[in-house]
Amino acid sequence: MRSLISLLQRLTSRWLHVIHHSLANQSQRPRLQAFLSTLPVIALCLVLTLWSPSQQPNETPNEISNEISKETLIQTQLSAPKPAQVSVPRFAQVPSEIRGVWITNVASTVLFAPWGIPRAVRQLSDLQFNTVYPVVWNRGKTFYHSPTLRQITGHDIAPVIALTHPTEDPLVEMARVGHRANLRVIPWFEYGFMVPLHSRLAREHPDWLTTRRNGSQQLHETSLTGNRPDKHSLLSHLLNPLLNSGAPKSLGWLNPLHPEVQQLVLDLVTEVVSQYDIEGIQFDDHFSLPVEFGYDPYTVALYLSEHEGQRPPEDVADEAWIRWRADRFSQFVGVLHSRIKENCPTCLVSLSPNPAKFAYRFHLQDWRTWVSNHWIDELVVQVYRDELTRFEGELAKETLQSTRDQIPVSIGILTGTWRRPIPFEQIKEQVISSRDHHFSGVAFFYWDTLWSYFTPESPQKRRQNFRELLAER
Amino acid sequence: MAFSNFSDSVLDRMTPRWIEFSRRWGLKSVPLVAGATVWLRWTGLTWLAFVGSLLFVEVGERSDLSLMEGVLGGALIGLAQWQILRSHLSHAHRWLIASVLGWGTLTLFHIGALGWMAPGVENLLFRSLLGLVYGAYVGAGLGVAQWLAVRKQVVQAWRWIPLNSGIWAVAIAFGWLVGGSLRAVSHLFISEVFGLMVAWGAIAALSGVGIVGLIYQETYSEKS
Repeated sequence: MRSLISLLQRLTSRWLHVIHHSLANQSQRPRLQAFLSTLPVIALCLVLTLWSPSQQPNETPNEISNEISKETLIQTQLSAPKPAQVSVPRFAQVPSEIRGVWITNVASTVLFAPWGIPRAVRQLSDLQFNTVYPVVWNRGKTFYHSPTLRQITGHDIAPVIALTHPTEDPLVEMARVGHRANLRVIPWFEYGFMVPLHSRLAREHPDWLTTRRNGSQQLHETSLTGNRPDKHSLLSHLLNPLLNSGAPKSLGWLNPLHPEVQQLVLDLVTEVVSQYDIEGIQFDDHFSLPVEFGYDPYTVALYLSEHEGQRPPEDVADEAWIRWRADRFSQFVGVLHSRIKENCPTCLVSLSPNPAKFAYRFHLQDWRTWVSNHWIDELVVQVYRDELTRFEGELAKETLQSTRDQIPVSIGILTGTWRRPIPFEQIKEQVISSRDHHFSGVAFFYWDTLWSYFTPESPQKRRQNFRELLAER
Repeated sequence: MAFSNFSDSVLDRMTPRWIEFSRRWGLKSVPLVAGATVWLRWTGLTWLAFVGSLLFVEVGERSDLSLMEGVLGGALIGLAQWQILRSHLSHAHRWLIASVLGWGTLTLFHIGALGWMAPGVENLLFRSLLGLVYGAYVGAGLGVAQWLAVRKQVVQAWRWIPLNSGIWAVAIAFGWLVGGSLRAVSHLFISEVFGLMVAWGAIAALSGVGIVGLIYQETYSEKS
């Protein structure tokens, strides 16, 4: 804001200078008239600039009490993040009710508009949210400045994001405005091990990709839809190119058992937890190994060496084969957890998987073991079900109930996608049900379908509904 | 029958009626290219101003726009139209002021948000009827404000009021009909925004015809 005021002062001084000299010199009159004729336009632009949603969120007593050090303010002026001091996080305690939201770059404008982050944070804070999960890794690109990825792909940040955030790292901005609004900022590695096959990362290191039994590196189309049934209307089919938001058609999977892939993930995660002022880090169901994968040369060689030359079973769902892969993957999770805590002892390790049985059988994510080993600090289970009975059925399962006794467990609730708008009534029922089952809170997927034009109700009505729902506690 | 024969017969029938219409309403003969250019610029700029206003004004279901949003929306539309009028009317800035004050006043009375508002009903027939009534109301209100701006320059400028009222009634009814139909299929509120874009397209195009007539008819200075 100070730099904006300074800019306006300089502009004003320049205009006064021009007017002064023009009045003094008759020959300058036509130029002056031309200049003055543009004043209404300039004035309107100024009004729009000052009024636009890019302005800073209003200070509230809570925000003021949450003091930001001078060092933090100085840090935000820098384009590249500097190493963060390891400090006690602002939220050493879990909020009484976790109210989180995922902010992604897919089918979303938050990261692509210069005012997107402040606007989103201001609205979330206003409606009493307390946690954001901003995307930092998607489609083989990072949404913060990553020296590690620059060495591999030549880009240290997604190019479009670099254009829309020329002066400040978007993750620095998210942390800065998020903390000012009393929000926990937990960066989210959305794509996990998933990468588009045409991405620079996949093309540079095809040996890092795992393969299916038939040798294909491409993820089967239905592999990730188990928990996200999509209803396709005629209109959505017609609008698919738009609704897909440029989503890659062919996706591959980095092999989570491959040492070089593991090193890449460790490096990326280390960058985030050690260089940014954040409360934790989150992985989701893409931080996994889909059951169809594991037939790549590296994994097969590893299996052969441990099974006296016996090849992996042809049946992808073979119990022992699933167990072996899941255990190898779990070993890496232990290493990752240690690395995170070494670099940021106060950072939470958050996981947002599917319900346990599905996560294990289809994604080889044995998160019950991870929780038992104290590798996970906070769980946000995705329960994307339309029917309330099915939703409550998942919440009542013994695994979730027992996990709830060990760590904070929140429920991930789908607020809709462009293809699949969800009425507020369904969301409300699920929030109330989560509260009734005594979970630690809720997280909504995703920001753009909380309240926007891409919801069944008007944005104002939707905001009002959320305000009332979240004010009930 | 050749097309030229058909068009000649149509023109033969239409021309005397057009001349009579022009004489009765005091219209000057409008040079085709000049008139079309003004119409095209007016239509394009007005519509683009509405699209631009969506960056700052959030479309809602009821008249829950703030006064600031109403003024801002009105200013953007007025600014676009002032760009066209300033080369044809001597005090065109009054049109801009009238737009700002008109939209601001209407917003203050919780009816001016109509240009950025969708009705809270799903029934298409009911939507159309509401569009006709509210559109006529807002069109008349804006028409009065704009009439005040040009009444000293344009002969019989009062005709802008019923014309604008009719344009708004038809356009808003049509836009709400389109928006409601799309929303029934997509279940997304964005459909209403598309509907309003259609409505504003119709408003821009129809009022463009009216404004060409207004600009190219006799002014008081010419009459005297």
